[in-house]
Amino acid sequence: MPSRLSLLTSRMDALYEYDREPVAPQQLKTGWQFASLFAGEHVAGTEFVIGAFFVLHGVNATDLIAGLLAGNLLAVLSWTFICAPIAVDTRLTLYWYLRRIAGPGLTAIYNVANAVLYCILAGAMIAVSATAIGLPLGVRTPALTDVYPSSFGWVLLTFATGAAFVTLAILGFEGLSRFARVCAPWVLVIFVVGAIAMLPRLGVHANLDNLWETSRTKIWNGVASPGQDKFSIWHVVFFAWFCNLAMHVGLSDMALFRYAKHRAYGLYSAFGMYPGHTLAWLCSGIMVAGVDRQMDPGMMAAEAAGAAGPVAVVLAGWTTANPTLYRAGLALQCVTPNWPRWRATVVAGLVTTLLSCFPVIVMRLLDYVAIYGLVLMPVGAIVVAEHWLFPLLGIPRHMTGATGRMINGRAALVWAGTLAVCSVLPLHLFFRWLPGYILALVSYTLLHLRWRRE
Amino acid sequence: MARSVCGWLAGISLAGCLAAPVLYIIGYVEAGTYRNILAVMSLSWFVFASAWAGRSSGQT
Repeated sequence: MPSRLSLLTSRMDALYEYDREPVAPQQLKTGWQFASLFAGEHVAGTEFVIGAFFVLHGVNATDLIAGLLAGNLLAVLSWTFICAPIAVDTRLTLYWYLRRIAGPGLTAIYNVANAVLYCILAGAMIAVSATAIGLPLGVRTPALTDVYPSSFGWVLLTFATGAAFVTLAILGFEGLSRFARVCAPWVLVIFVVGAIAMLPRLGVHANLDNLWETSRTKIWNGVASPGQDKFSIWHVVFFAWFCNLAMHVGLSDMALFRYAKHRAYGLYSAFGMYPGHTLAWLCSGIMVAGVDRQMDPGMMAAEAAGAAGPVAVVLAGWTTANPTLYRAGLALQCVTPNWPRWRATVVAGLVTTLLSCFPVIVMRLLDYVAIYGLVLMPVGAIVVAEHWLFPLLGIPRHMTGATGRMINGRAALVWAGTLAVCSVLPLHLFFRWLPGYILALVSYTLLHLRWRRE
Repeated sequence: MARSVCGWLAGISLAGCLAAPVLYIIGYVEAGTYRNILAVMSLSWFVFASAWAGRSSGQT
């Protein structure tokens, strides 16, 4: 077993070899590059679903706007005060920093968990795109309550869409990344265009004098759709905050911020949060209200923006599923002996496509996003404890790396223990990560303090 | 075509996309015309933005 784990970790190291060394000063990027990167990354196909769900969950207009502004501010601050400072201090990716802290064995487990979570996320993006492709083919989008595929047509459609996405991801990742940069501003504009065009249907006058009144009574009217929980401002604040939890508090965006000239570059994440996770969500809320709250992103976009709408849904899903599939393939490659990248991507794509058939991953997308962040969050807490708290308390850092152990047992215990506690906390799923994070931070530090005394 | 010209035309296309629904809600054009304008402006954006992105930044 230890030899298998050693083999696996040495393979993984080879894959990530190119970023083993800290970033050199001449490789640092400008603020403008960070702003455009964030602006492009956070307008995904899933935004068509997330904003619409706030309407279905009966959030009222004031709570939604205040909640999105506050929650996204907390997300930007998390990037600025947690992720960017550690990345700028170390100039390393999370992979290499975690390797020193948690050991190569636990880092491998983290990688596999990440691959599985990426596959589910990419599956949701494929399913969202499939709703638009299925529109001219007459394939019915599953209902809100559907867990399993509702028709053979839906299964065929998601498989065909998934196969196309995976093929393109293998053939031209670089080319598609460039194309994604061209798509991103247009997709955001289609969100805004679709929302504006839906206003007359909702009864808004041409001079917009009743826009706020209509927003309060016909769009975010505070009434949840049948079968949906009622959300308060706190649900919105926490959702906007943890939507990218794995990236900021979970520290996976250290891969980006190691290129930052200054820790304050975390503030550039606002260029992703406010257009993507505020404006686009508000716009998709208006669009779903304009189609009587039917959760069908393809149909919703077609009604709002004609032929351009479904094209935007497909492109938004495709261009964001592409890097997600690439990352899943990369993470999977570390546990598959001698496989070329294309084969690992095909396997990740097959799993992703299979998952995309199940409507539950789209219809329960908000819950999945919460679980995704929750699973990876304790790792971020462990790194924060070791990076900032250990020096303050006089505890030696990076002992696992220094002693050459495969697994930091305390880190594994804290990760598993935190998830076990979070799974039974008597709180709504959206609120569990914060007490879990504090628990992970404190318990990891206390375990090391006790070990030091002994 | 020079890179800067492609950039300007791409920007105008995007502005055209945004203008289309405004013309629709003030009653200047019908729903069908709005959708056609949007489709044409979108196509124009992809042509010019791709050309702009494809040319090296050294070209002016």
